Amino acid sequence: MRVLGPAIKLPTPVITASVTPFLPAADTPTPTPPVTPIPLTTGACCSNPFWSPDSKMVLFIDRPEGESRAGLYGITIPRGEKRRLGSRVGVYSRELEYVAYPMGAMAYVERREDGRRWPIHTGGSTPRFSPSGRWVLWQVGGSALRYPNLKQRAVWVSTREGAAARQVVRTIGGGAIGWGYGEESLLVSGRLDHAGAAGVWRVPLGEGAPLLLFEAERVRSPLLSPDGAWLAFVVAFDPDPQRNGLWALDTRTGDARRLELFGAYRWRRSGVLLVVPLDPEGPPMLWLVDVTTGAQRPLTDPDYVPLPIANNDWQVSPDGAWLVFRSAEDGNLWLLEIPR
Amino acid sequence: MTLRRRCVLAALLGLVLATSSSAWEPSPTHAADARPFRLPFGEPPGPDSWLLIQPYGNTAFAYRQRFTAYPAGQGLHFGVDLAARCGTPVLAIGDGVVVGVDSAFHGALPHNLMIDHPNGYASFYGHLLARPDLRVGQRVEAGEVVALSGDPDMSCASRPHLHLEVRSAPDHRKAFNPLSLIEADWHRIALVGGTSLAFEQDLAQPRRWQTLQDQPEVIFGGTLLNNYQYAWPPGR
Repeated sequence: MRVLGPAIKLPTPVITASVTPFLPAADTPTPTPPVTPIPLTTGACCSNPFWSPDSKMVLFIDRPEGESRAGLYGITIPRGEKRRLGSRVGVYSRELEYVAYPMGAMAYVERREDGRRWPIHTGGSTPRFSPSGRWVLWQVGGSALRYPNLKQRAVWVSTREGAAARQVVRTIGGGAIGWGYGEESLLVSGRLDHAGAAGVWRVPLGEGAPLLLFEAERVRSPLLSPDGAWLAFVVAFDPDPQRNGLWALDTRTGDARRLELFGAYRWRRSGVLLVVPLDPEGPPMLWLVDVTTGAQRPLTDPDYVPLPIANNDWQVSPDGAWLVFRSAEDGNLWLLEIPR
Repeated sequence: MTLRRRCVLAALLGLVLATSSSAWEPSPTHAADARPFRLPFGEPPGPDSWLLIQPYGNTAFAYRQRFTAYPAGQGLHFGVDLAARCGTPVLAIGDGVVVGVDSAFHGALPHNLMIDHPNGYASFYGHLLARPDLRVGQRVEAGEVVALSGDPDMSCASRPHLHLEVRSAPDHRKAFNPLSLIEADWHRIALVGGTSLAFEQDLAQPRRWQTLQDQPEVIFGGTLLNNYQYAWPPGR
């Protein structure tokens, strides 16, 4: 692992209430005209929104009054009507062509166009699609909470039709993060054996041995960029305070950078992160970070653009132009056009 | 005994049990916009101090553990989990009196602490590193160091965190949402990481119990509240 420099100057790691630890001094932008969040839903609807692949619809699970079953709903942005898209609740492929769901001791991948489905022997685990939708992965293992047997898992892959299924790796204390760049590898966290190092591993799907990209006893909230080239994650409570914070890792090279900001994060696109800093002193605001250089700048002015995000429940559209969040004030979904 | 007499006796017994159940006791009250307690840590949240890792209530983790770790609390997570390295000083969230030290009845090993507060609530601190150096009957003040955070697996490498509950006092038979009673900006505190602090969705009522504050009270020993017929995400 190579830590990218120059060393980033950080505020003192001993946090006191009177210090704003994670917001470097910078003028906040005052856009003209200021962007304003747009309400999308009413009635405290709904949690866990996600985007259509064309960035034109916000999707979520709901069961409105009068409906007999929950289903997938969508709203065309910025001000379209809410409409029901289907009754199947599951994990969707990125292009929404397929949906995966467990049923008993099996899982099924269903093609939405014609309803044809394929069984996959996952033991009841829910498969996750690769970015292309051609492959799925799933995990099998106990949910034991006792150390040192914490979360021992086997990670499997197959085609979306269930063919060529095989166990790729076993993890201890971590699990599958997702698909690496080019879908040629998997990214996993934890240990691969009881005596070995813990951290982020790149496990090739073809020839080759797993490679430790970043060593850490525990990697929190890992989030891959849409192409799998970058991984953002949190390290906390390390004895070395210089290791604690938000990191961005190039999964192709193993180069890693600890960011100056700390808080909520989502990828705008590969190599560019949006961050809402954890700042107990001031209102939420949105920052943009180029993780390849460490350059960062604020995108919103909290005096003009409120961002009352509930439960860290927000998502960026695939084209990077929009942000949807669940409001802590009214529980509804709101839309924000992300400043350029 | 005739069938009629057995039914009458059963009804009377049910009435006695119902009137003695804590479900009939009014919950402690406080001003709607006032939260009477403070945070259990002295430092602001952050990667060097502490982080919110599991809120109270209908969490997705609780759904998966509703039969194993959380059945006593009606299947829900009946406290809040705050990650912190072992040995982090834990502060009393309010003025009160120590009523339990290392009570085996309440679990949350290896060590725990119960404090009754004068406002009808009690606070419970679990997974502590060591037996608190307090005695039953001892008075404590809000913000006073009463314990050190630990790890339920006693390794300090596995999952070190403070498990904090707010219960009814003095019976301790109901649990309340600490996030509605502790003065803090919890939505800001929840701004850590790349994923949301997800709650389980009952597909019969997918909007219910989906926010940090909108969570039900728990009656210990009651029936499961989250044994949904259809839920998302699924159990595994």
